[in-house]
Amino acid sequence: MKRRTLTVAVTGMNARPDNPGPGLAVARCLKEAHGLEVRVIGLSYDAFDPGLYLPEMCDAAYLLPYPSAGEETFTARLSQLHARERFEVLIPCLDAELPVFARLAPTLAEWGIKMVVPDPQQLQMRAKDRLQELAQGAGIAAPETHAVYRESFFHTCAAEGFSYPLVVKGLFYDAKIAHTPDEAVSAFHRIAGAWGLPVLAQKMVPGEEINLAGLGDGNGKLIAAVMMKKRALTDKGKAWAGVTIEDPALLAAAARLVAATNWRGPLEVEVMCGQDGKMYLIEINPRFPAWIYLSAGAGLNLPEALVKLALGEPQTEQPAVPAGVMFIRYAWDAIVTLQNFEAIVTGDGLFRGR
Amino acid sequence: MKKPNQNKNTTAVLAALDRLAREDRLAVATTALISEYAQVSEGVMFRHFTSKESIFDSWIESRSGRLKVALSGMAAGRAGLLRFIADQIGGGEALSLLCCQHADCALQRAHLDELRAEARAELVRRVAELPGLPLGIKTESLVDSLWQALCRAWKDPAGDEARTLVHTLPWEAEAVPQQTFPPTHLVERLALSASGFVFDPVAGNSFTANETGIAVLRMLQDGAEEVSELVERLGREYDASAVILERDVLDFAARLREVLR
Repeated sequence: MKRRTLTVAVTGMNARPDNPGPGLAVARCLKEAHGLEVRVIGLSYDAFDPGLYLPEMCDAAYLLPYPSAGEETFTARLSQLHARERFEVLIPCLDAELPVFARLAPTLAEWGIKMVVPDPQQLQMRAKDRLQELAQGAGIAAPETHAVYRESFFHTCAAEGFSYPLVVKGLFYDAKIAHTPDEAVSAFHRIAGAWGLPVLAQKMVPGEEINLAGLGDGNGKLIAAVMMKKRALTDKGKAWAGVTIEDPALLAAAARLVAATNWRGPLEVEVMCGQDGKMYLIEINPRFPAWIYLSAGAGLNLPEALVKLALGEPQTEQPAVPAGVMFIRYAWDAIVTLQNFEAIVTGDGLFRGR
Repeated sequence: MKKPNQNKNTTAVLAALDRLAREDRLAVATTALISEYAQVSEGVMFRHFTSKESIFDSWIESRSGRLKVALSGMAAGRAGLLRFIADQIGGGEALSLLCCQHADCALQRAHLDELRAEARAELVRRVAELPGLPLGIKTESLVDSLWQALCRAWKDPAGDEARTLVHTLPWEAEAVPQQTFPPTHLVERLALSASGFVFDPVAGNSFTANETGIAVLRMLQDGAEEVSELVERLGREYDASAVILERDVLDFAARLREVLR
């Protein structure tokens, strides 16, 4: 018996070659889900986001107003699109929009839209400026992090035990390794301009980074996880190629973090395996990573598992993910007709195959 | 002239302070405790010393004298420094001054700090002259690590660290690899392919090795530990001299240590 088609809205359809958003990869996972028939609605903030124009990924595509336009405007647009498309599940994929969706979760639930997202308190627990506290609670080491409001910190930070190189990070996004105070000050202004204050200064941990993408059930259990080591990086330090790994220590650390926060929804745990043999928690992202298609490629489709969790389907035992499945990212050109571009820009949206 | 018994009692009392220092009990040393450790009655003890302070003063004077003689008489170079270390660990009395907790007396504490500063300055001067010091580390930091190692050896003169310290300086010990090959658990988890492709499923790293390298890795996974064993087994399979095989195995081991951490 053919399953009914499920309508799932996915945000984050940006896919700049050097720094893609996760939305397109999530849509691809859903399209390849063995246990679901999914109609994907792509949502984005910029008419140049390529995912909007890929009919094999998005059955319909629309622009959203930036959350900075105000929650009222944002909610009104979502309501309008929901009336048109009848979203059953919505998967937010971008860091900056997560707090908004977490706040709107009860409203969306009233409309009948299911989301599996962390609540505002859980989001706050993994905030980059509170990561040390969370790591400590979960028994994981974390590099010392300092919230910086003035550039002068980078000239006097030696007195606080910071030495160069150090990492300058945005509260939501972006990170730069600074080797000198001048580099740090430059990164401070650029990141503060894009993401606001405070900017974070983090002590550098020399070592190798490994990552885990997982799904928390909201009751302290890590339902499923895929681990990955980046094998090649873009100029921005983003994964260009990676390979699945099996690291019991990382899996155990992620399980402790999920248990400590009762995490609900997707997350990406980034750790550094230090040269001193210790594992350091670098970051927790409250969403799937851009490399999430590797989960489907390795046989454990995490976005599919999320949709089933949202629908309240019983969780079946997840298959083990074999180590050694690689991905290599590439860019290609999507041809866009002017009519389609116009449909996105004017807000009408693109819809196909209904 | 002092009588023989007087010398014996004085020596026993000062040696008692050495023991108390080693046990971190100087600050709580009462005359009763000193008497007990020295096996000299308090009455006899006070025939030689006027007060507890005078016992401590005599102890510091005696040990600082030995320390100054040892430092000024130290031969130049690494061999001289190692000789000094061996003598101090073997004798130990002068190290009591360098390594003890501060005595419970402000005047003696200042004296002790002054003596330690002098000793430290001399060690910094000696270490700075040594060839082949680790790059990028200040001499003061090296002396700090030597000082700490000396104190641990003083506490446990029969321990492994004391035995190592008489022939290897702390920073030299760190430079010597502990094992020829990486730890067994790192080698055992490797996935090996006959094509020469090697994949570490935990770290996610991969590298390629030639036929001999793969053979060595398989032997290590089978439990081989010694270079001589590998050389012997390779010698049965390859037409190469033991000298060349050993060189190649050691070279491969060094590369493996770099790749597998």
